[in-house]
Formats: sequence, structure tokens, C-alpha cells
Amino acid sequence: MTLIVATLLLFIAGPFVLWPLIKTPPEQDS
Amino acid sequence: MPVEVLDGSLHVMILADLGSGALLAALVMAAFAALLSFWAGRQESAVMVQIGRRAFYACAAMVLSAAVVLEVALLTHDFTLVYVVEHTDLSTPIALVAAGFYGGQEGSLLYWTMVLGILGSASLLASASLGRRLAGYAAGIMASIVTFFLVVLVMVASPFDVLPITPADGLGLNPVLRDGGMLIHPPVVLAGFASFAVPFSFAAAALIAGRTDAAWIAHTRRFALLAWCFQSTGLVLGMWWAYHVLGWGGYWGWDPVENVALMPWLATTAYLHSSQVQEHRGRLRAWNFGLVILAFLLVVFGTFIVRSGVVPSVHTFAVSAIGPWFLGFLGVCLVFSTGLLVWRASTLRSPGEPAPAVSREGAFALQNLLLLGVVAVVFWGTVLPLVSGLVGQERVVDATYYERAAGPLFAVLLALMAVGPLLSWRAAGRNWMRSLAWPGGAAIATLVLLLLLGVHSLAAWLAIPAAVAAAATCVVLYGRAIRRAGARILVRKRRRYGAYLAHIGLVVLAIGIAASHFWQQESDVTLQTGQSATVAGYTLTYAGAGQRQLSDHSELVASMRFGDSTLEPARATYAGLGGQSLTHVAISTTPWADVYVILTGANSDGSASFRILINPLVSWIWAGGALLLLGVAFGNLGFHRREPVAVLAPARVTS
Repeated sequence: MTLIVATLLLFIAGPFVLWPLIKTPPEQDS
Repeated sequence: MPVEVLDGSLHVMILADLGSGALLAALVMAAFAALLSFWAGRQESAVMVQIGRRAFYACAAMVLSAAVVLEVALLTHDFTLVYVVEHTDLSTPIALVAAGFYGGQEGSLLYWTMVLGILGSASLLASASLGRRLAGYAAGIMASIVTFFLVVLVMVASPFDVLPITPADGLGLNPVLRDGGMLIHPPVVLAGFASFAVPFSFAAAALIAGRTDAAWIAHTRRFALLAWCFQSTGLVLGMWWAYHVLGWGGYWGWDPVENVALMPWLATTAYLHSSQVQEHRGRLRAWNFGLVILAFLLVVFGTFIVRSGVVPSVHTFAVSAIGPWFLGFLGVCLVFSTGLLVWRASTLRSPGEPAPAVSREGAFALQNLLLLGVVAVVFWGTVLPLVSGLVGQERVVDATYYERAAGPLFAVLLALMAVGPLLSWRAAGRNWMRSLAWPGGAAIATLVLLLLLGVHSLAAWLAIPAAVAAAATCVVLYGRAIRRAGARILVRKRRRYGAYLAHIGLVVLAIGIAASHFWQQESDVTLQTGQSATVAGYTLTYAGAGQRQLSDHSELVASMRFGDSTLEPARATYAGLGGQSLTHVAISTTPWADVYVILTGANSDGSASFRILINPLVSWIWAGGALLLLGVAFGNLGFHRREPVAVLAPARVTS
């Protein structure tokens, strides 16, 4: 159950954390 | 009674799983943030630094969620959680049940991590301006520290462990902690400890990035000040608690736990002054890095001392098995920080000619040495039982050691507070001796007054005139500023004049400590009803004793008439906690002295025994502490123009 909760939370946090990558493709960074 | 939101077992299962799941997710996120931020800093990738930072924010939010879950479990009396059983019971007042969150080992670690998550996130928000490398490394170091705490919380000391059988009631909070002070003192001290990690992370990141200019100091100045304010408040509240609740008549016992809270405070005090030299003159770089690192190492060392129980302390209720983890963490931090300082030693040299000894720079350098001297005295006094135990017979030092070794250093520091602010940058200036006339005159007048009052203590002759001289210096500086530019200058340059107000607060506090230390009087008396005792001119009359029943304990209360008021010292007995008893002191406070009465026993012949103490100027300690914080708040709250920062050449060093 703990693992399920942890996975779910990480899944929910994913878009927030990865937003700069979603918004700006990495090749434009350099 | 438990709040029946859901079926009992399902409710608890959900809370425990939500809490431990949030901690596990936070651990994964923190480790990810640490690794990614270090890599992104090295690659100088703006997008990856941003992602690392966002991972840190997400981790902080998960830790905050776990904290909310634990608080809900406490407030709903979920006795299937081991932590709730061990630190609360049904008779505990609800505010103290809520305070149980940080009342035990696991909860206080979670609180530590939560504060670091919140303050760390705040410090990272505007860190992009420091450059990708520094911002990335700072996030990496902070996330690494959070990762360590989360490893301990997930693997060794989880607050979400579940009992196989649910008890009807909990074991309750330690009686000493059943006090209003519990609502403020521990969270403030722990927040002070946790917030030291922010300046440390940026200092270490600046060293890795080879950015030894003052940018990291300017960025973390308010966090260092916040950490210092938390620690100052925590120390004063701890003294207040010891004085009002522990009931032994004093406020500072040189207990290891007090010492380990004092040491980072001393190092941060040195840093806050020393950092001004780098901001204004670009000097003392090695000192600033060293002091911030030392403050953080002392925090970790303190946590190890409190949690491991390796030295005897009044805080033994905090002892647990996580000591070795903190020892390992301390070792890693020590090797990492020392390695960084050695690696970057060549970039830490100050440019140009050294400033003359009699200058403001010189005063700050001397202040650093003196404060480090006090840290060394306190450190060796604290670890002596540990070190001597390893090589033979365990030895401990008492208060006399600290007073004799640290007392003269404190007196010189007070004298330096009188001289330092009058000195100019670079050189003392031609008139500096003349400007000492007022503080010097005040010191001599105070010394004469002490001699006339018949004071025959060398320590008092040194400490009190030095403190008065330091206060006189502040008054002179205020007067000079108002005469030249009007009272508005105090607001316009409030960072400087707020600091002088803080100096006055420290002087008031020091006078309170000196007076209560040098001139405390005490007497042990046994009185029949109607009999009186006189101590230092204060007369108290015993008016009888009686029993009083309260919700979670019973009290034997004695009545002492003192002038128009009645003092009621008591002994409380907690039947629910195996008959543990606690002294409740009665204190009558005036600006000049506290009359402090402890009920030491009630005898079969109807008489009662008391210890009566007359503590001069103790209220000055609390007033001085408040003034100290007011000065810092006045100097730093609100928007004001940033003063010029000596950000010399970016001095980036390629590794």
C-alpha cells in the first residue's frame, strides 16, 4: 500500500517537475 | 476520543500508508533532485537546473503532506500508530497533543525535514540569478541533506509505524513537556537548527563552483539572519523554560543540550558580523566559508549528541538508535566541507594589503577569534565525558569550568562591542581614541559605583563596566547620527541602527545574567503555618497548604504571603504516569529582582520546607532577548535599498 501511495504521488508530481522540459525542448537550451 | 471519520482500522491504515507513502515518494524525489542538480550544475544546463529545483519543491510538498498526516493522526488519537501512543494520551490538552508532532524523535526529525524543505524552497526560488552552476550545486547539496533525513525517516525512525494491537489510551507526554513553553521552544530551536542548512548549502555550492565572491552571502543573508533569530529565540525561550518550569532556580545549567544549541549560535553570530567585511571590503572570505560550515557541522554534531545519548543530559527523553546515523552524516559533512576548503584554499585569499589591526576589519577578526574561543571552550566541556570515557575514567566538568574559561572571553567580547562600532573601515581614523571617551567614562563610572556598593568580585568588575561601555557606544552612535542627519537616518539606515539596538539588547541581557549570577541569594527554610522567613530583605509568610485536583494530575499547593500577593509553589503528581512528580515554582517578578519559591517538601507535623531564592535582574534577560530580536527585525524587515556589495571579479575557477 505504501508503495502504491508513493508511486501515485510521484506520478502526480511528474508534470510539475518536468514542466521546463515539456515547455522547452532540451536542444533549445544550449 | 478518536474522531470516527471512517471505520477505525481503515482510517488508521489509510493514515499510516499515506504518511509512509509520502515519505517514500519524498525520498525518491529528493535523491532525484540531488543527482540531477549536481549534474545540471556541472553541465550548466538551465532547464535541468530548473527541473532539479522543481523536484526539490515537489519533495518539500510531499514532506509537508506527511507532516499533515501525522498531525491528523495525533489530533484524532489514532492509537494504532506507535508514535501517537508514545507521545500523547486522551487526558493531554489538545494543544499539547498537536505539539506531540515534534515532541518525540521521529516527529521532530520530520519537522526538521519539513522546515528545511520550506526554507530550502524559498532560498532556491530566486537562486537563478546566482548562475547555473552555483544554483544547481546549492539545490544538489540541499537535496542531499534532505535525502539523508528522509533515509532516516523511512528506514530507521518512521513516525508511521503501526502497532499490531490498538491500545485504548496512549502513554502520554513527559510531564516536563506539559507546559505552554512546549508550544514554542522546541519548534523554534528545531527550525533554527534546520535553517542553518540553507547558508551552508550555498557556501559549499559557491566553493564547488569556484565563486568565492560575496554573491552567496548576499543571497543567503536573510536566511542566515532567520536561522540566527530562531536560535536566539530558542536559547532565550529555553532559559525561560528552565527557569519557570524545571524549578531549580537557574536558567542555564551548561547541560550538553544547551551547549550544543549555543555553539552554532556563536558561530553564526561571528559569521553575521564577519560577512559584513566581505560585503563591504571583499575580505575574510575564508573566515566566512569556514564559519558557515562550522555552524552547520555544529548543528549536526548537536543533533548527534542529543539523539545518541553519548553524554549525560537532562534531555535524555530524546535518546534513540539514530545516533550512529548522525555520526556517519557528521563524518561525511566534515570530510566534504574540509575537502572543499582545502581544494579552494588558493581562491580564498583576500586581495590587496591586509587591513591594520586597529580598524573595523581588525575588530571583526578579533571578534571571530573570541567567539571561536568560546565555541572551543564549550565544545571540549561538552565532549569531555565522551573523550575521557574512551581513554579511561569518564570525567565531567561543572559550571565553574565554563565560567572560568568562557567568562573572560565574554567580557572581552563586551569590551569589543564598546570599541568596534567606533572604528572605521581600513584604518581607525585619527579621532578614534577621542571617541572612546564616552564608553570609557561610562565604564570607569560603573566600576567606581560597584566599588562604592561594596562589590568584591573581579568578574563583576570586568563584565558589568564592559557591558555599560558597550551600551554607551550605541547611545553615542545614535546621538551622533541624529545630530548630523536627524532621526530619519535611523530608519533610512536601519540595518546599521537596528544592529546597534540588538547590541543594546545583548548588553541588557548580559547585565541580567551577570547580576543574577553574582548576587543571587538563597535560603532553605522549614516553616509552620503563620511563620515568616526573610531572605535579602524580602519577607514571606507561610499560610498553609492544600491539595488540588486537575484533569491530568494532582497538586500539593502551599500558600506564601508576600506583601499584598500570594505565591503558590506546588508539587504536582501524575498518577497516570506511574506517580511521576514535578515541582511547580512560584515567582514574583519585579524589574529589580525575582522572588523564587520552590516547595521542597510537606512534613507530617504540618510544616513545609521551601527553598527561597532572590534572583536580581532576571527579568532583564527576557527584556534583553526581546530587544535583541526587535533590533534585528527593525533592521531587516521590509524593503530597503541593497547596500553596495563587493562582488569582485566572478573568479570562476575551472577544476
